[in-house]
Amino acid sequence: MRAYVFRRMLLLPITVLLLSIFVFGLIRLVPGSVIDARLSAGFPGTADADDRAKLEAHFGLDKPVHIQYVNWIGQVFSGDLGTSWLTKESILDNFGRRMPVTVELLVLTLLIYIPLGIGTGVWSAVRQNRADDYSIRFVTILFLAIPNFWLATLVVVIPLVLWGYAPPLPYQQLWEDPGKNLIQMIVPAVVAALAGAAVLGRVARSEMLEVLRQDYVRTAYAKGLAARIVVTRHALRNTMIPLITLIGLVFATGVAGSVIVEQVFAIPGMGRYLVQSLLTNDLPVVQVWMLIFGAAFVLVNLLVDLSYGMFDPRIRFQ
Amino acid sequence: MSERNYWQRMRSNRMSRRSLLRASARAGVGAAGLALVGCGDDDDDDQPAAAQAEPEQQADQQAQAVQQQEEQQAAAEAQAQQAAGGSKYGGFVAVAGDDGGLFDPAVTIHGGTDASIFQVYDFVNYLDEGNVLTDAMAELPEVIDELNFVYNIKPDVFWQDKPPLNGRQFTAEDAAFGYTRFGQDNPEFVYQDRYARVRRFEAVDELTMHVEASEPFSPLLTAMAESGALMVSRDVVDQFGDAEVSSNHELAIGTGSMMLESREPDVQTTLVRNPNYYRDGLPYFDGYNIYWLPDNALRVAQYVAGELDFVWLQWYGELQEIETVIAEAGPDSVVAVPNPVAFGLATHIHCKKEPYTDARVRTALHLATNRPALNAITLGAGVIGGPIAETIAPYGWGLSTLEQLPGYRSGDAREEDLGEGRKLLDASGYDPGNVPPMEIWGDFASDFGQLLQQNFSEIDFKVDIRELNTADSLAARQNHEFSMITLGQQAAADPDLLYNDLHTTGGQNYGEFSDPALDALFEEGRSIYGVEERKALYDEAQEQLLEVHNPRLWWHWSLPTVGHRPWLKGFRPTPGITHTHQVMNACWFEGKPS
Repeated sequence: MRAYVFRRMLLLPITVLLLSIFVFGLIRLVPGSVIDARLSAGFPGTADADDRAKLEAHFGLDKPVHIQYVNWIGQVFSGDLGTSWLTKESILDNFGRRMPVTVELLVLTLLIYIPLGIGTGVWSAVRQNRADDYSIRFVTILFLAIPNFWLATLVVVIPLVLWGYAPPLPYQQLWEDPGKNLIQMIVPAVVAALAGAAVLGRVARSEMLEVLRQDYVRTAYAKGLAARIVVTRHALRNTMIPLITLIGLVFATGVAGSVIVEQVFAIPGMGRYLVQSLLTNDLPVVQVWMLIFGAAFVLVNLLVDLSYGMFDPRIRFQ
Repeated sequence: MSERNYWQRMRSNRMSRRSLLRASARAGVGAAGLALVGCGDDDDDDQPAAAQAEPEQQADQQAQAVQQQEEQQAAAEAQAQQAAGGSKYGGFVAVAGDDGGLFDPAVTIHGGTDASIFQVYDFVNYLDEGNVLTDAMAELPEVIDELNFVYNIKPDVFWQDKPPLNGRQFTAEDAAFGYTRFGQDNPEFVYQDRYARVRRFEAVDELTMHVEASEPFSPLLTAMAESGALMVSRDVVDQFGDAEVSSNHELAIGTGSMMLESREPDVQTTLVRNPNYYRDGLPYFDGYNIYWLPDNALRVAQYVAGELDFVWLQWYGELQEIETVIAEAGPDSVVAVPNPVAFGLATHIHCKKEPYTDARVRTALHLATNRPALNAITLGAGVIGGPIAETIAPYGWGLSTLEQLPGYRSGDAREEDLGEGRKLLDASGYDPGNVPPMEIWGDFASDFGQLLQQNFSEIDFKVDIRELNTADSLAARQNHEFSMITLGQQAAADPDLLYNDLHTTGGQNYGEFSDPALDALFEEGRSIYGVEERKALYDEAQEQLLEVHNPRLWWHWSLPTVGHRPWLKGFRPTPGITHTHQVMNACWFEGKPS
């Protein structure tokens, strides 16, 4: 296993490097530019080609793309994430301030997502073709179909219309006022978790149904074990491999979801930072953001792969 | 009625229309203010040389007119306050915005500006809500000649009492530094082109600043007062550097009505009253709690839930949305104030692409465009407009003028216009089989595309629609890769926006329109200071554009709406965020529930 982990860790920088090339190139394909935005801010009609050239030189956009990339990646690997083109703030400082907020949201999302997804899936499988199974299937499909930006807006609007309620202002950090912070974060976390939980529930149900039909489950029942013991100790563990894979993927969907959820609920995290930066063509921020979360995703996948051995002793890492 | 006859009549009626405009209070004050900074003679359009020969005398007369106007306005405000139970000091206004995070007005761009700086910093002169040049930290400038202006700084203006400024006096040196800083040759300073025609800003003495232009450029005085022309101190810049001024909110120390007390990025900014503000008695509020809420639904929710006193409804505010807010919050909880602004939508036609190379085709489309219907179905909260927004007083044409013009008329007159459009199309001999699809900004709304298509079909002009997302729409316009695309119109405060939009070398002449006669008019507009003369010139330009050229179909200027609590008194419609803050300085709470 050590050799396997070592090999995977060796591959990590290469993956991140390839990812960085992809991110850098992709961002430059996005139409619109900070140069045009700056030129249009000046007095109408007076900006000319010289002004454009000066701005391009100022932002380093006058150099060939591969040189721009080498300069940028060299800077990042030396620990300097750069500064925002828009606000001149250090990107590292901004990440340091916002990352805990997004991590809190992700943790809360996971805390809702995993029990809700697995719980409903298992319950639905155990109660196959009964009313509660049909209800759960209906609800999971419903939440699969609802985009979370719409759900988030509904969650804002419905309590408002029914009870004139809106989340309290302003946002409180967890370490300043945990109670108020929880009130503010729980609804966004539920919104972020629901669609993922619906997927997890569907997969958990089908996996559980398959496992419940295995001989060893029948044997367990025949031994006289209680249904609860059979399901939780014998069946559930054998459904976990695909579920763990899905839970690993929720990191990616959670991060993507945070972009929308943080924007709608005004949570000052990484997702909102990305939206602001995208809207203002703040490329240094967008590049670093995508690189860091891409690298984190690669790491999470490694952890998921390693965790398979915990659930299935037959798996050997070679 | 033929088009020729109509325009002939319109030209012959020009004086009466001008008289009508002159009669309006806004245009009157605008004329007075701008004539003061220029050297035009309101009563004699034919003698610009004579007008320039006696600038000081005219300036005195105009100054008296402005003073009289201000006294009347102050009296009216006092009367209104008395009627409302008198002005009340105190209270924090809760407002919502989207955090910009950039605190340097000289560097700010595209949404990056932190809204708080408009209260923290202040202007030498500013444009009031009627687009009238108004004194602020300095009196209106004395016009020495068309290249030289003198600003007298008011003696009672002080920087906020924070280190390193510690409440010292604002001087001519500060003003000269502030403007020079805007114009410095540094790509970060986005407004430098506004000051490209200024040779120097210099302090003559402690309270007198001399501005010397290198060539006549009448939009300069507007530019010096436009949104963003806020004064930053040399002391802070020298001590901390430009980058820190941009990013560090603690260095936002100005002369404005509010001091920046605290800021938590993307959460909240608190402003508190500047006790040394130079305008006697202002502001009335103790401060502001600005909550940074990026999502419109959440802003509205917070307003309805009672957390906010004031909210900008969506920029393209749908009437339906405003009605919803009023319904949810209760009619007694919202005062909805529509704010006409110099920002809108227009259909840009590419004048170098067939069949639009022929001005007759473009004019036919202009005649077929049903503006009231477009505004109604697309946004519901816009105003029908022409090439210059009505808010750019006194140059923009309002609905009362426009609705008499071909292309803007309704009823039987519209039928005439459609008939004329068909004739023009026939005369052009365009190939109906060679009409490229028009591009529609699909992310925003596709309804207006279908309606435009329908409008054009009324003159038998068939065109398909190609929907583009926002990014592709902007790229298509920027790269001139479109045939006919509907997108935003640039905000501006001076009619010189037409130079940018339509001069052969204009920076936003996306449709590559070119006409030597109009180019000459736009260039001349930059060298004329007299308001009446300038107005006549831009009237002429607008007439030519709508009569003959039609490089764009102008149909919409936005009308975003402000919602505020009934206990917030004194708010008036404003054409932009800068103006909003100036107006808010004189607002107060009356009967706010505790």
